[in-house]
Amino acid sequence: MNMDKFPRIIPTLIQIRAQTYDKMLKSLGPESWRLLGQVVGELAVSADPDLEAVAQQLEIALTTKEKKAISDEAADLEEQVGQAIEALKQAIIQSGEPHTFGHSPMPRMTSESPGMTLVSLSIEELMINLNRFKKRDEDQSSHFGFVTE
Amino acid sequence: MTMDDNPMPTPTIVEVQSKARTQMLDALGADHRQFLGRLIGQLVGAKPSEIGLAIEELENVLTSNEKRSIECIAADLEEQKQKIWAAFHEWQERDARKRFGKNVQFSTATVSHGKLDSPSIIMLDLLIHDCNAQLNQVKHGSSER
Repeated sequence: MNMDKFPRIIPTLIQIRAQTYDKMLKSLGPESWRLLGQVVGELAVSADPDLEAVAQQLEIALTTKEKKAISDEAADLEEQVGQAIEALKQAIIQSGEPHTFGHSPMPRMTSESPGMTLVSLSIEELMINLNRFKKRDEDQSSHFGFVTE
Repeated sequence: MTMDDNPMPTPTIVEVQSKARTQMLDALGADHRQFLGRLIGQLVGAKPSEIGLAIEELENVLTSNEKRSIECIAADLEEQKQKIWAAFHEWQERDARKRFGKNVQFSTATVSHGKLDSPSIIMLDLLIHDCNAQLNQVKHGSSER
């Protein structure tokens, strides 16, 4: 996909993800929610952070029902993200804009454990919320472009 | 062209951020480090508006010495980041010229040099961004610059 077109749907993708994350959290019992906060906090200040170990710790503690709810929401999120990207592609094609759609595989949440999904989304949402608090834009990191003659 | 012809500059921003994270955590007393961990845990699932309260709480807890250390480390980090971006930009230009020839034109877009925030925001920001860098490493097997 033309990467300069991609930013158009970032706000939509962020909104979809935040809604899904909210549903995931609501599917957790109080113990699992407490543990999620605990492991993310410990990870953030650990002298030797180990993300996979933290995700595994959470995975062991989640109930079967919680895991299923998270997996279902992750599958739903992937589908919605896929639809949003497809809609953007169609809009670019119909507009007649020059385009090239490369194949860049999206990271698949459905292939990871519910524990990892929860920890991942928690970190990403924390970062987005902190950036919002700081009134930052989506991505203020520097980037450089080049064009050929 | 191979990467060997034009190796990417090192260190990366992720690497210097990680080092600064360690320095900042070392600058905190053990009790404040634990407090910070609990505070971040409480922010999981919190609304953006609640972040302000957490930052205020942290600002009240940190000692003057801790705040000074955080600010010094952050200033040093900012300087290193700017040098890294400059080196990366030069690398990108060399890379593009090798690929597309001498007539390649460059545009530089939205280079923002972060202003220094309060020590609490600096600390939270760095810790959470570092978690995210680890996440990228685990998920994609590569680091951001």
